[in-house]
Amino acid sequence: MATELSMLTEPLVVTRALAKEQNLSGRMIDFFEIEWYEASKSRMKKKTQGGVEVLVEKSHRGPLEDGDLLYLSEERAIMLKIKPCDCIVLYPRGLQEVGTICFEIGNKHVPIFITEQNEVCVAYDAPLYQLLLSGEFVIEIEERVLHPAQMVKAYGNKRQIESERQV
Amino acid sequence: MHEISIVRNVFETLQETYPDKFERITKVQIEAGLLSNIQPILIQNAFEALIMEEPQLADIELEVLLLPIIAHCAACDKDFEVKRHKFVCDCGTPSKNIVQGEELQISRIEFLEN
Ligand SMILES: [Zn+2]
Repeated sequence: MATELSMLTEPLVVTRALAKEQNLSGRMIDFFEIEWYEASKSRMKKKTQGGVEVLVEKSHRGPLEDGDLLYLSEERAIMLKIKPCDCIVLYPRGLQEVGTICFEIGNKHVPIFITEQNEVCVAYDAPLYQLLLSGEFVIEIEERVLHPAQMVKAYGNKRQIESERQV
Repeated sequence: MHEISIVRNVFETLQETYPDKFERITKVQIEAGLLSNIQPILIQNAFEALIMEEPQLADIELEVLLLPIIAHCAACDKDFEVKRHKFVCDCGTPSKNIVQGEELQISRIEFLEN
């Protein structure tokens, strides 16, 4: 029997992402949208784009990833979507420059993301942008999705997150 | 990192304001203007760290909403959004007359219904 999820009075509780690579054909794809800085939250309740109330109550401390499958039924799949945001994107011309950039940003204690193309991304922040402009870096402001898996600095808890992911 | 003391402060304030209802709080929303010098990720991380210390807070969601910067243009007599810190109205007039963007406040509290 099909349940109309948006009619539920209790939220749909999600404790972890489901296995990827599932066949979603024939399902309505619905999105649970979060900000990039919410991926590590252990608890959050929001409505999906399709109006289903979802409560994420994580059973582990690792971050959720863009594209994570949160719920799957015969009718509907709910996927996590990290909203893109304005980012400072730097295009380092070598490993040494990556180091210099990370050092400059590191003082701000904000997380740094390194993409597969070795671009360095950080959420846009005006003072930081001004600071980096004064260095001789190749730098742009672009709208990007900041992926937790590409985070290289998380105030000393990086190792913790990684070891939990291996579990 | 002053975000840790901000988060502690928020929960101390709530405990003082709602001594009877504090345990029924399910969600706290904080609005932070883009000029408030608050990093939402550091607020969220500070809260996750606080939960480890004070597990009774684990049933509360802390949500940070970033508020865009809004300035007022005297020439058009209207407000405009300041994107990427360009304090210039569509009409070309610069303005630093800020209407929104400096706030840091508890904007919403949700309680468990009886
Ligand atoms: Zn104007």
